[in-house]
Order: sequence, then structure tokens, then C-alpha cells
Amino acid sequence: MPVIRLSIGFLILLFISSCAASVPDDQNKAAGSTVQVVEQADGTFTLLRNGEPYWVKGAGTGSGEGLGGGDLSLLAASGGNSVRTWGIAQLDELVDGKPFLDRAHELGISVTAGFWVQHVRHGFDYSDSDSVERQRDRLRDAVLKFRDHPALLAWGLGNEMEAFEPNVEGEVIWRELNHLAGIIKDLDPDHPVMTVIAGAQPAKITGILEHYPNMDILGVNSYSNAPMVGRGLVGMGWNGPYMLTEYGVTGTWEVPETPWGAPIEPDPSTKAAESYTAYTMDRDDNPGRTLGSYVFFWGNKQEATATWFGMFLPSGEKLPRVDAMAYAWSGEWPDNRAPKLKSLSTPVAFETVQPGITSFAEVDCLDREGDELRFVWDIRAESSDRKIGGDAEAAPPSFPDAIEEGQGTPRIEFKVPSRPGAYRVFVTAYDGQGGAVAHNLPFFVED
Amino acid sequence: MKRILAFFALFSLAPLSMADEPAEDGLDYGDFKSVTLQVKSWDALGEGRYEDAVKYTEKCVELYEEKAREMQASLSAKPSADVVNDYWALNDVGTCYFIKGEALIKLNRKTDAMAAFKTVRDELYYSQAWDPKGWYWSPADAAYPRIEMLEAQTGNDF
Repeated sequence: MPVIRLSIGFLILLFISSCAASVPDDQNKAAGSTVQVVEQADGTFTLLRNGEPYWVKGAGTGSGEGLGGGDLSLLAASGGNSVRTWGIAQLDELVDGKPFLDRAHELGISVTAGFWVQHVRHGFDYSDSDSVERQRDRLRDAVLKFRDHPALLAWGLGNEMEAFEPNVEGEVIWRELNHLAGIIKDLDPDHPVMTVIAGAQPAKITGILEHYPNMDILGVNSYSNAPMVGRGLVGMGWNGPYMLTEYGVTGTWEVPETPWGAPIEPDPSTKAAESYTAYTMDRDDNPGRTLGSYVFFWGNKQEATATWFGMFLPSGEKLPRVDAMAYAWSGEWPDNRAPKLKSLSTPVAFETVQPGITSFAEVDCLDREGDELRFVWDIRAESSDRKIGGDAEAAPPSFPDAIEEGQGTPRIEFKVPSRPGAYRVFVTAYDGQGGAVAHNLPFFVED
Repeated sequence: MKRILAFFALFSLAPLSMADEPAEDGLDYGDFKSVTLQVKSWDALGEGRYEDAVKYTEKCVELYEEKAREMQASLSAKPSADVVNDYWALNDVGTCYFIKGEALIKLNRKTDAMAAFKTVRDELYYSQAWDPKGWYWSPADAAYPRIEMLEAQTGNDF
């Protein structure tokens, strides 16, 4: 593993180099950052950014298809210090009127720049040398373009490219990643390479250890098991540095389902507690091995529902998980918190009902600051565009005419759709101060 | 983790002596074997029948906890894969405590859920469960973050 063993000599070198950084030999280099993973004599690891220990308090954020990015200034105000992206094009997009990297740097936020390594399930063929070479060329272009940006923390080389690929030998993927990481190191020795896998499993770790020595940091996406990733990695033989790169709630594939196969979304308070717990447990249980984490997802994203993973509504309001992460990162709750949902109920929840019947739903919400809440109800079809691996999903249709009375209030009467199938009743409570809470309950209309 | 013991069920060495009996609560407990109860509780949890899931786990505990604790007491480390099925009662009861905790969270009985998770974490910590993906996992390890989450919810206003 290409990490640096810390010694007195190294510290002197580090001091000299950090002094030298203030007297740059070219303008581009002056603007850039130097980030290293340092191994101490006791086998623990520290991330050094421009010579200073750097603990990642991060979030994954995005834009483009299916990914609406959240407010970066709120991340900084919440005590976060880093974001992770998935595709290199995102770095050129405008945020608050400025290029993404510039805006992040302005806010004191570092960026793990994701380079999307193509997936076989999306049509990539590792035996097609032209495709492989084109991907390498794209990586070279990206590294040359962004390596000197001061916001750059690390390269996120690939995301879950090994997952859902039963017909591809892992070795092929690891070997190519090793080659790609080598390209990065040749062009940019100042930033570590992290590759993100979909959950830690023994075969993956074995493959990485055997075929991917150029990787500096292992990134692991994990949901219900996130707090235990560090412990699990040790048992699989991974003693190097790692980060949790997606975590925060129990995944749609990890929860109980209704008899018609609809995953039951955890309530907002449980999701907030899960996010907080995963962060704090990973931090506290794995000192010197975890370098920090990126919670998923600082933005909004349709995946099973519009609210499962996203920490913001599409209209920009923060949800309770944002406050939970602020508390985890800074130890302080924000001054004005998102509302709290105490209960949501309807007689049709989890039931199969006749088409066209009238029912009701009611919600009990609390606003800690006494802000007046506005309630928006929505009857929606169950998602019929479910994907794997976080691929973009289309939002299911809404049936606004189904709500007969009470829109805007904590209780509605609604008419169950006449078309048979699976539905959910959603409620969102807005506090008018940039905060909201949302939840839903599934039901099924019989034929 | 739903139904992840389904495969394990095929290899359980649970005794065959329990005969089918009618259940007073209307639930079908099958042959009352520990593995049957454990699989039924997973199924109930996965289908959102949380009260039923709790009942299945409690039946498993009622019938097999004594044996499970005996097995736990005989161990000084987690059994290796080649002998893990010898500890069938420990595995099934430990797993049932984990499932019970999960179901109780769904029922918003968080204090009871905490107790269930703590039982497996602190007292039945050598129990193991088989994941059909190809490895054993520890209900005690899995209970640990659930306890942390519940404690966080108790001490903080999420």
C-alpha cells in the first residue's frame, strides 16, 4: 500500500515541504493541495491535508440525472468539511453561480472527486480494448484538468463497479482499477486514490489485496451494517485505511416489505438516529483506521421513494437527517431544526383495500421552535421503476384529486384510487424556515 | 438481513422430537423446532407481521433458551464453521433475540427492543447465523449498533 510511514525524518520533510508550499515554483502548483495517507509506527493511519491532520466529515452530493444536490453552505454551517461526487462532469457544473470546485473551496469544503468507472451492467466490456483505452484517456484528461484545484482532497476512482456483476471475474476489474490508479499517481502524486465498493465482502477484499496495490484508501458503501464495517474489515484481512462512503439509513433492500413487495420506509426520527449512530460508531470504534465518512445523500433522489435516501426535498428544504449530521459533526443542534414527525397513521396502511373507498390519514408533528407547520399530502403510485445500485429511477405518478378534504392540515380524507395496484400516502410538513419532515405509508388496492 | 437464515435452516441439527401442537394464539408454530420458529419469525418480520414475529421468537426462547445458555456456557470462542451447527439452540435463540429486537423497534417498544438486543449481545454472544451469500454473521455484533442507535434515540431528541 503506497502510504507513508511516519518518522522524525518524515516530519522534518513534511515541515520543509509545507514551508516550500508557501513559495511555489509555478502558479498552478501554488493553488493545489497536498494530501497524503500516513501510516504511523503503530499501524494506524492519518490523512494529512497540506500537512495537517484532516478528519473527513462529509456527505455525498450530486447533480444531473436523478441527483439534486443539497445546499453546500448548509453543509459547511453544519460542521461538515467535505463532499464526495460520483462523476467528473459534476466538477464543472455551477453551484450558486460558480463552478462546483470553486464554490466548495470558497466554503472551506474539500472534494473527493469521483471518476465514474464504467459498469458492465451498463454495457461496458473489459475485453474491448478500445473502450478500456477510452476510459483511461478520459481519466487522464480529468486528472490533468483538476489535479491542481485546492479543493481536491482525493480521487474517488469508481463506485460499486464490482457489484451486481456475477458474470465478470472480479480480478479483471481490480486489475484495471490498479492500472487506472497508476495513471492517477503518475499524473498527480499529491492526492490519494480511493475506490468505493458496495459493501465489504471477503472475496472483494481478497481481490483488492491481491490485484489492486495502487489503492490508497478503501471506500465502503454500507447501510444497515455501516457501523460495523470497520470491525468487519479487520476480520476480512483489510488492515489499511478506509472510509464509509455511503451510509445513513437502512437500505430499501434491507427492510421488511409489504405482502405486495413494497419496502417499508423507516420513520424520519429513526433515519436521523441511524445516520448519527453510524457516524459516531465508525469514528469512535475505529480510530486510526477510518479516515472519516461521507453520509448519503446531501440532496434529493428518487430511489423507491422520493425521501428514502435524500436529506433534502426537491424544493430545497432540509430534512431531519441534516440536523442529525450537524449534531454528529459539531456536537451542536442547529438553531432552527426541521420539524419532528411523532406519528403518521391511516386505516389503510399495510392493508389491501377496495378501490374507490374513502379513508383518512392523520399526522402528529412537532416544531421545536413553534413555527407554524404547513402540511402537504400526496397519494402516489408505488414506484414501478425500481433499479439496482442506485441507478436513476423515474418518480411514480401522483393523484392529487384523490385528496377530498383537509389538504394543508394534519388530517385529510381521501379517496382510494380506483385502479388496482400499490400506492403510498405521503405527508410533508414544512416549517417555513427551510426545514421539513416527510413520511409515507403503503397500501394496496385490490382488483 | 431478512430471511438470511433460510439456507441455514436446511442444515440445522435441531431435534426432531417436537410434535405439531395446536397453538392457543392461532399462530402456526409448525413442528416447534427452534429453526422452524426462527425462520417463521424472520418471515413474519419480513412481511411486516411484527406481533407475530415477536410471538415466534418468544416461543423459541421459551422452549430452547435453557439449552442455548448451556451451549453458550460451554464455549470460550465462536465455534468454527465445521462445528457451528452443533450449537443449534444457541444459534437459533440468539438469532431470535435479534429478530425480536427488530420487530419491537417496528412496534415502537424501544425499551423492550433494547433488552432483546442486549440479551444477545451480552449473554448469547457466541451465536451465529448463516447468510446465504456465503458466510456466518454474528447476531451479537449486529445487535451492537442497534443498541447504540436506541441509546442515541433515548439520550437525544431526533
